[in-house]
Amino acid sequence: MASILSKEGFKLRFSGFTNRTRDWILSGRKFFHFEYYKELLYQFRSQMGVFSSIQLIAVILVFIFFMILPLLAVIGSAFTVNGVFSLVWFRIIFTDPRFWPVNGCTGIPIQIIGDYLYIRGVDCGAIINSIYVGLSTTLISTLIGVTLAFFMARYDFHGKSILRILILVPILSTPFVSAIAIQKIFGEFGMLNLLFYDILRILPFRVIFEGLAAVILVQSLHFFSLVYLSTYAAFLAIDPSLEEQGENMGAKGFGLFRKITLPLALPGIEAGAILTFILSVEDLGTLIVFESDPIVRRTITYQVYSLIFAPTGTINPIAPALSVILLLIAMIGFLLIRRYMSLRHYAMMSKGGTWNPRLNKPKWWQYITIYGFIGVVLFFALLTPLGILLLAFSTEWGTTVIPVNFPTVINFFQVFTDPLVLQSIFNSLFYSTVAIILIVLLATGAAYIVARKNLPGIGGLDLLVTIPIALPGIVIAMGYFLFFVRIPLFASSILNPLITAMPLLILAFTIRKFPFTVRSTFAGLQQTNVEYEEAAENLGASRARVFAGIVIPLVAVSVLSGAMMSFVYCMSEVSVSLVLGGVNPDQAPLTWKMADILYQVAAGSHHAAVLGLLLMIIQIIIITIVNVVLKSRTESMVGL
Amino acid sequence: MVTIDLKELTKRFGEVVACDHIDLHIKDGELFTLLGPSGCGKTTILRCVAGFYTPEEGQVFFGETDMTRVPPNNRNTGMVFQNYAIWPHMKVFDNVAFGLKIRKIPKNEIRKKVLSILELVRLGGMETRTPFQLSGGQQQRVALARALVIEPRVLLFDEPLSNLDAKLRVEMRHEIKRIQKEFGITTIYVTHDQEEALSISDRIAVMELGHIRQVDSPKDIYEEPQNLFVADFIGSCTFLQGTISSANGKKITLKTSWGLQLHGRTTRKDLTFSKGDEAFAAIRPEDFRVREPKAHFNKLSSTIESLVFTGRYYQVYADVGGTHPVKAELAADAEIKVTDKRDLFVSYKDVIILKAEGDPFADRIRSLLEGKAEAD
Repeated sequence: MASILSKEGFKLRFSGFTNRTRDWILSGRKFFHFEYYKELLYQFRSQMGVFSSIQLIAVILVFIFFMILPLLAVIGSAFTVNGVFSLVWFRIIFTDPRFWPVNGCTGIPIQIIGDYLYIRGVDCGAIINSIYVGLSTTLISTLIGVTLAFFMARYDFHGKSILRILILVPILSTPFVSAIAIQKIFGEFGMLNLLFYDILRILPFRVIFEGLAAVILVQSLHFFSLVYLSTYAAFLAIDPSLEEQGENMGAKGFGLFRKITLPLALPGIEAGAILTFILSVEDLGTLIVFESDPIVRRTITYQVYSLIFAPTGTINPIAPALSVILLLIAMIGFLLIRRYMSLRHYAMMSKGGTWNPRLNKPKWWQYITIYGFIGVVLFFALLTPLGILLLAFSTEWGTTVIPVNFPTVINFFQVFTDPLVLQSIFNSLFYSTVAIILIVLLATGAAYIVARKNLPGIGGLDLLVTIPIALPGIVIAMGYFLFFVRIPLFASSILNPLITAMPLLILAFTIRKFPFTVRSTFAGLQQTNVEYEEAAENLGASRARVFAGIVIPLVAVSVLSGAMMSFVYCMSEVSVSLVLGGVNPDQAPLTWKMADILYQVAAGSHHAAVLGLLLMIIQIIIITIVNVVLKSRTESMVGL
Repeated sequence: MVTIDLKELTKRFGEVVACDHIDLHIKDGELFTLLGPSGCGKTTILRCVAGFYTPEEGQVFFGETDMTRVPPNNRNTGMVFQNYAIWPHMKVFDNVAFGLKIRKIPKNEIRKKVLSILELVRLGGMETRTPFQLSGGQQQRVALARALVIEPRVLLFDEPLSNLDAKLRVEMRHEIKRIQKEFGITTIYVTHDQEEALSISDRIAVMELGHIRQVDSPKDIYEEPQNLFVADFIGSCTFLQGTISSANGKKITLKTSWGLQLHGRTTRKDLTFSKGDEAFAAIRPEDFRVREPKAHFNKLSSTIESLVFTGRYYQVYADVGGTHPVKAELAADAEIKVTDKRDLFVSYKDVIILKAEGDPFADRIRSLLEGKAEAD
């Protein structure tokens, strides 16, 4: 291949470019011919049955009205002043030290004062703060997740089956309360400092996590499990003969891992890592718990949240511009995922179906490393649910290892006497159930069309239904306010969130948690031979009958496990729930009520922990079903 | 039943032309095979007939009816897939009954038909089994029963035996032929296995690179290959390159570059051979002898290069001059050793002489003989 720098090489590139451009322009001509549209219509009618067409139209309509148009409303507001194009909001943001480090960064990231070690992180303005929190969380989560996945996928050791279950615990998503639990346990006189500094005297300092460092800590202890799941699946998907071939040629140990295993698993690792970045940047619950610290408030997500005043629908004019920046950061991550997802299948290229993954018996020193590493990770990861448990069964947790009056069930009585709590639980269950019904109805169709139909624009549909994973909830919430409140057509309808929050909450859940079901169904379809459907069609079955009688039964498990994960994530949805829930407390979902209790009630954290515990139990039941009964796949767990 | 006509059928996948202006007439009740290497377009044609592909150009007729744009579910064809496509979530009975249920046939009649067709494919008593309880051969029979029970106008087979072991394949071959003749349904059968094609078909179309190279009965395909590709694909001919030194009537003589004279015949009655034309002699391995026949034979003095005993015969590579040895199958009772100098005999009628000019496969044979491409 000639170098681009040489004359020939340049010519080669350039002629390739011009040829491609010419072809593209020539192919563009077809759009001016009536025949093209006639053919397109025929293609559409010959491939799409009535049912699929209805599903397709419904998907497109739902996504246009409840995702694209609200987002366009945000972007529109960000770039205009009184309807005229303007960059003034961005100019304001980039000259304000709260958002952009015009005067450089401030703060001392790590500081020792007396026998105190403070780990804080620096303040560089909301934009850089959000990015570096995201990157740090991603880096830490990836290091832990990949190492863990490697040990679990490649070594066979005692107690592995129980460890495999315990490692799934951090995936439980309990907004607010997990952050509170960590805040208590890592606090100045928290469990860890008491144990390791005061009692055991292992630590030379009292270690205090503050500010953004605390946020990174909370997020890392949760998100490493995502990277772990995604990487573990990637390791298991590697055809063992590829590694054996490498060994056969003389590679071994770390060399084999670095040269063969890691590159093959890289797409899976990268997908998990980038997803972690996106979720970290858009995480709102943790920021709210730590909001008493001014640096924590200086993050984009928190700023956008605080600039929306839900009860009246008032939005600070710089909020849309901030949202656009947040959207951009998340979107860059998403486009990176898409790039790597297309590479993902090459590790599984060699055919042959099921194989026995390679499992090594560790040597004695590897045993020590594996148990040591998993032990430390699990210790920290299990602190979160432990903390929630302790909080839920106590009323005061100040300066002791275990709360003073543990255990007591008084919180349960107090929490459940509030009728709004019961109402919010019912609301969340109701919204999530309706959302899941909508998701299943639409996602099966969308996945089927993307997997099986060969029509122009299929790539666009695929993008449309997977993109919500990268859309920060707070941006969607703002879009709803901008779009459904300000457009007169909707302002007097039930879609106006100031009138009733319910329809928009359900639709927001539907859109935001759509990818989990769609990806899981898509993966199921990819593993199902098309010949099953063709055989039915050949015998005279209509497209609707093929879909209902053949496709759905064959991918039912994938649909179900995806739907259950969508349900789990609907129940613990934070951003949209907080913003829209504030309008009318009667219609608020569970997560809004949790935040409300934190703000309103004296023993708020203990009461919220009760609700967190409830969420955990629901999630454990569902994840157990998904894993044990449905033997499910990672696609549904991480939504990729 | 019905005849099938393909007129100028063309299907493209992006830049690739999978089948290029195919014209075919398939007779009523005939078992017609599309034979060719993978990627030659045979499955594409089958799928155009089934309706899974819409051709860019050309038409598909069943009898007088243009079926080109009729969706697959309205074509009334019965297709047997390569992987059988037995629905794993249905019992054998429900798999077979599927097409009948769609045709809204009364329940008791469905039951009667399904049970009798299962009897016919020798699966009597297995209707309550699930697909997981069936062997590959049994699944194949279910697929066949499922396609037959709807009494289709056309039967389509897409490499149906390629996933079975060798013994079962021969058995199923006979079974398919028996049932096809019993029902008399017009059938298109796709395979890359020449032995299968020769033994099962009424007629065969040999395909290469999206084109049909020859359509004939199995016997004519085998004995009268019309071009270099068919000669190469059917049987494993040795090709010897040379020029025509004389052509009078049926007897044609070819002279190789190293001076070997070969007398033979051509299968192309439509072409005239004249002195100096570039041509190839194609000889099947089984047509070489070590004993001198009575008359009309070529004698090739050779050195045995390699020798493999296969049971029925010795497979031999023998140097007869030129760049490549000839492949011969010699009687197992002959006394042969490597490096032996032996005379090989081949009758005039077994040397098929084909012109290089105008044959799209000539370049490929040339480069094979020049050692540029690997011989198989």
